[in-house]
Amino acid sequence: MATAVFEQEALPHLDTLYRVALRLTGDRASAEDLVQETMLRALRAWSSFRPGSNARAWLVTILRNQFINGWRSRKRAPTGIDMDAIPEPPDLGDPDPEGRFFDELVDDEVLEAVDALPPEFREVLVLSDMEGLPYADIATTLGIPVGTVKSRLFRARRILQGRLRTYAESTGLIKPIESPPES
Amino acid sequence: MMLPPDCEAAIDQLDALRRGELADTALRSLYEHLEACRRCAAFKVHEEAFLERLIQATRSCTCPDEVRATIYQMIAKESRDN
Repeated sequence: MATAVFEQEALPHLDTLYRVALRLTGDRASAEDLVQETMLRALRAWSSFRPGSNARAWLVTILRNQFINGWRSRKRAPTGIDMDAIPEPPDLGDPDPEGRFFDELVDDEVLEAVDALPPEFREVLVLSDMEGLPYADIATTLGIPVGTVKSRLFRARRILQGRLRTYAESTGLIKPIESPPES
Repeated sequence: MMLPPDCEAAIDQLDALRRGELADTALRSLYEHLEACRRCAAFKVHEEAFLERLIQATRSCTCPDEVRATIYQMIAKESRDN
């Protein structure tokens, strides 16, 4: 009976879990293993799930803990980032102020840029902007205050937008932003 | 680059707007600001294009059937064993 409820509550979130796992681990085989381990752990811990609470957030928390405990050390060194290089929003000299160039990029280019984000920024961006989890659930999942979720998300978007823009400029999709003439 | 405080507040509120979490008064105030401020209006459009692209990039990615099958088998086995 418990497994039937588990199936009903947990299985609809497999796509979310797989996508998050893929972004955390960086490769499909590891993501598949991580999702399977997560589901096994979740099934065995199902009695601790509070009915009516957010099953997706609960599962993502388990997945992330599994990743931290067993996977993070094996995969991915954090990517260094020069915080001063993060572009400030918004720039009136932007030749593409509506961000039309985003549509010209292919999925793999976008996802590679996401994967290259430092882990603490990548996590909040994936959970919030790609999977639509509420800030409060992200805060619980990551064990950080809601304010930190928001500030990391803001930074993550700026870093990612900056990198996508640089890529778009280097491939000729858009012109570089012109600096104002010095007076 | 420092933004004026009302622009900073407007940019802070855009997420709440997207999530449908903005109260009526704040909503009106934000729209008034966006009508008057070209910079923030452009930022809103730019941010929406970016977020839409992020969602598109990931939606085609789904859990493989083999993984689903393995998980179903695992659940069935746990059910039998308990």
